[in-house]
Amino acid sequence: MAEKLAIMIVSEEYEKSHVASMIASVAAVSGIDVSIFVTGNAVFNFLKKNVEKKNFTGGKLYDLIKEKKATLFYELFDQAKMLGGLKIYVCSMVMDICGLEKDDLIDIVDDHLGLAAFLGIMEGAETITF
Amino acid sequence: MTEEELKQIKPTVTVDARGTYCPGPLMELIKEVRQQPVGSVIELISGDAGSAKDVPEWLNKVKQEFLGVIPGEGFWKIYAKKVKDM
Repeated sequence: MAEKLAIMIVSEEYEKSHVASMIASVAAVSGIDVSIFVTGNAVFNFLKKNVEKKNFTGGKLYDLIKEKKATLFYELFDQAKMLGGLKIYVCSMVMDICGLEKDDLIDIVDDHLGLAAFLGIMEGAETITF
Repeated sequence: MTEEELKQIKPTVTVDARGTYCPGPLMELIKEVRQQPVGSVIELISGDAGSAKDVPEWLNKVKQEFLGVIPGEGFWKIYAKKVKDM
């Protein structure tokens, strides 16, 4: 496996952000540099107002995750950031279109990036898209 | 190590991660591996069936020592030794 992992999260479905955070956290603590690029509707999962109200687009699995109080995706990302090399970037274009500021995003987001910058990060990295 | 040998181990620290879901137990173990000094033995108690396979895989990847697993009733005791700084 490459020592660089790039994960793109595009869909707002909760389970996709969740699986992305699981893979990212285990990779990050295994010495792999992980970069997350949040774009498309997935941006709504990284907004403070939605995280505070746990307002996510879920399904059966999300209902059970809530019921069993399993660690949620943003908590997994947070843990991974404390223990390993993980950066989270949000797509500048989506932020523009939605009229979002950095302050609207949860604190685990490092920065917003354009595609050219993210392509640079993806170079030589194993890439997974959700 | 055999199960008998594992039972004789006096762990430096025990982490009870029952009640957390994958990758919770692994993340709990990792926190201890980071914090404890080299030479420490960490006992991880996990209720997640995946941990017994997942933890040895991770230890191998980061070149720490896997000592063995004792299966219990609905949980697993997994033993790891920190052999180098990380």
